[in-house]
Amino acid sequence: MRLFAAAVLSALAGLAAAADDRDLHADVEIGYRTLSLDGDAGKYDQHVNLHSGLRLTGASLRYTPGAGDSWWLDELDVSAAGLGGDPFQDIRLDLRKFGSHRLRYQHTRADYVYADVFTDPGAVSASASNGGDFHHFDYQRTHDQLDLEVRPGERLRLLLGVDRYRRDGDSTTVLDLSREEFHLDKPVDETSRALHVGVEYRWDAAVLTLDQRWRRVDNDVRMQLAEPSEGSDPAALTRLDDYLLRQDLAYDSRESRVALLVRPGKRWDVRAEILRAEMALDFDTRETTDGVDFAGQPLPVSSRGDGGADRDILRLDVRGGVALTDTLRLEASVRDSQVDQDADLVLDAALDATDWRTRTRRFGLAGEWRPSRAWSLRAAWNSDRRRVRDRQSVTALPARVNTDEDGFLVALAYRPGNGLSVRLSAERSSIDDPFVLASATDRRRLKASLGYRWSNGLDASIAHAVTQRDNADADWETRSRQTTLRLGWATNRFSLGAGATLIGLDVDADRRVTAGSRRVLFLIDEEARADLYDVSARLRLSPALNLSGSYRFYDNDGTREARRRDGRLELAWKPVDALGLSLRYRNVDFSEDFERFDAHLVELGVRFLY
Amino acid sequence: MCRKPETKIPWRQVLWVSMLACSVWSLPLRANEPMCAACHAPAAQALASQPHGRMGIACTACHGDGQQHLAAPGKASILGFSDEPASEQSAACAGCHAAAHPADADAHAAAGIACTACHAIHAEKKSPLNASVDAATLPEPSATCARCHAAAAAQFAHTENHVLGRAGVQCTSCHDPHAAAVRTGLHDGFDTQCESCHAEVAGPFVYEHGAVRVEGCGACHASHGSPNRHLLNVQEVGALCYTCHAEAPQFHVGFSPAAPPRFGLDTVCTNCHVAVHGSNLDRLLLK
Repeated sequence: MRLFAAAVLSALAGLAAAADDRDLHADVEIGYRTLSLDGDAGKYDQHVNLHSGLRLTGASLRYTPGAGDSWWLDELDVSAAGLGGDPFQDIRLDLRKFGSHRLRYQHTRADYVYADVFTDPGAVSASASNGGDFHHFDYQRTHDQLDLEVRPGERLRLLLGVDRYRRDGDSTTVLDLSREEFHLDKPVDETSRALHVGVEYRWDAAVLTLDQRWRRVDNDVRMQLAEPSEGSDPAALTRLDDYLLRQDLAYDSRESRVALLVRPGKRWDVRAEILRAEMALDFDTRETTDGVDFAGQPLPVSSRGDGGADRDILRLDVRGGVALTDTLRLEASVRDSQVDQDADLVLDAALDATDWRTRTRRFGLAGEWRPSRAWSLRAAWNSDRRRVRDRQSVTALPARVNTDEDGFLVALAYRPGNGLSVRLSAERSSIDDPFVLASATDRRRLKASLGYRWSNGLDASIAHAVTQRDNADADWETRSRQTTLRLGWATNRFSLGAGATLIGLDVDADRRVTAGSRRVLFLIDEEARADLYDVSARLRLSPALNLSGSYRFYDNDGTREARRRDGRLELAWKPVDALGLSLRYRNVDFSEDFERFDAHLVELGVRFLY
Repeated sequence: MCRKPETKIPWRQVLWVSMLACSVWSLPLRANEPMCAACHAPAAQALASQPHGRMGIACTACHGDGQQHLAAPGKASILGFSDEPASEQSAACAGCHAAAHPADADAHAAAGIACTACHAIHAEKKSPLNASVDAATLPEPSATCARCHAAAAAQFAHTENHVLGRAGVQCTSCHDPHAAAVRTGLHDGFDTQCESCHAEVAGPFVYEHGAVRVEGCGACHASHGSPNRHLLNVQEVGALCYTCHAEAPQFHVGFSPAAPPRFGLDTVCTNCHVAVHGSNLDRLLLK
């Protein structure tokens, strides 16, 4: 990372020095932000997380030598944003010689904060687990990606990619032990590295692609008690003086892909792809406990174990299409995939093992008819047959579940070419599987959209969709309706975008939960009404002065209520070519259940341009 | 079972070889036709700074032989990428870009969407029109998707959302816009798209959560956005879990038949079943 950054900076410095008669644009914006926050700081961090201070708001550099000037570079783009403590940081580099090579690098860092309660804090009870979420997260995701594409000739393309992903920070979790719940620290420490190599070769009527990807993930999982605890119910006997669970795991995966595209003639094309992926997981675990259980007896002191899992995936896809006439085209596809996984755990010399296998066969047929340039009609059908064999413990018998899914789509479109666009579609899919409970066994959707674009830059559209999903086995039903209206208008000096999205969602389920000899009927009847309105506008007051703003309104009511108002205003002034000043204001007013905040952010930016 | 993964990637060498390779390969540029620019100066000028122009690809490579057009200027005598059927427009692109983007077979092509609806070859075609909820603030390529997929873009406006446009997350992080039309779902026994960033919950595990392998991440999570925590389909964790788990041990509803249920719809099941995505230690996903 440091080596790479040094190399990039050196290259940029060299380019800038040699850029007398070439096209070089660079700008750096430094901003100072102030924050006035009223309300729940944790919720603010979860949703916005912008704080006061000096920031590198953004920087970019674009260099394009004259045509033919450089044998290794046609275009160089470097940009950075959010550096200096913002929750989303981004550095990008894109170096291209068109038709020859391209090097891309991206570094992103994102902070993730979650410290939520969603019931009345006074009513939260750990012993009843009745609403408080005792999981907290505060960690960073850092992702570095480097991709190189080289074309040694017109027919050959080589790809090389390296990837590093890291997650580190803090979190808390809960341990359920001897009828008690204890809050534990769970540091986050995960690293993933991947290497991708690809080759593509093109003939006149065929293209062959080979891809190979290796990945290694290391995750040091640790759960520990920060201090001796009597748990959520001090009156109970269960007590924990010390607790540590370590689980260091690593897995390697290798994925190979071969794809062949053949075009025997102008009307035919066939694509076949084979994917093979293997994953191997290994872990060691050690648990030490010091405390007493609900009967006052000492808890088991320690346990030690190890185990692993192997997952193999083999997938074959074949797809073909033919244009029977100038107005009629047919497509067909077949997929056959298999996932095998076996895993074992040896804990204090006791062995347990699980395994499962999924075999999926999918068929699809589609046709498209275009009787004229304005009209098109498309129909598609697919069928999915999945067979799952599942054994959840070494002592259990394997279970077999068959899932059959069928679906179709019909879509009619009319685009006469005068700016009008009309589209109607209907689709339905159904799953036949007694084990599928959370997903819908029957799904129907109707969509209609109408749009018109005028020659003066005005654009309007409306779309409406109704989706109905239900599960006959689990006895639940959801209905959602979404209407979207958009309006846009753009001229040389002014642009406006506005819209409204109205979402309605009903969940209706009667669940009878059986627990031992007791049966309890839970009536799940949820409603959500989400209304989103947004408007954004940009006005060029003068060649040096721009005013822009946006306002977003979000209301969700029904069973749960949430409200958010997000307004932004920006005035940008460029007094001279090399300098830009901007003043930004943002207000976020948020409320949800028992948490709310009202934040005012003011940011002054100074932008230097070259 | 004995596994000792030994994959070691020589990161530094890979980096320097990559940079070196960049400097080695190049192709000669070819001149564009000045004859076209005589009438189509703005288009030719805009193209000059774009990849096709920089590579010296001739106008006729995409628009077809211009002899007829020269004899009888007008839209009818040349492939103009405006009034022709989408398949005819995209076929011109597929001549070179067939391998990575078999666009004549993807879901967009099936809906009559040509390559040029998303890709601005001449640059000047880019327009903020028909912008969706967040299209004005989204970076490319997500802004392009949002122009048509307004309903999906609106889902990202929920209070809990998948940080689209930030930290490198784009629509294309999960969706392949050039994938074949009949591949309808993301899930196929394993959620590759989710797993690439969320390895910690993707497994494999010794004890898998059955829903993960039968129905996929989408069984519990609304991946674009949701008014519920953790992008859940239902706000109350208990209500979500009871959808499938209609049978539970006695103590889940109280130890005494006379006592009121200890656990109800507002129960957070994951406060005990913390390893809800899968566990290597506990069949009940308790740790």
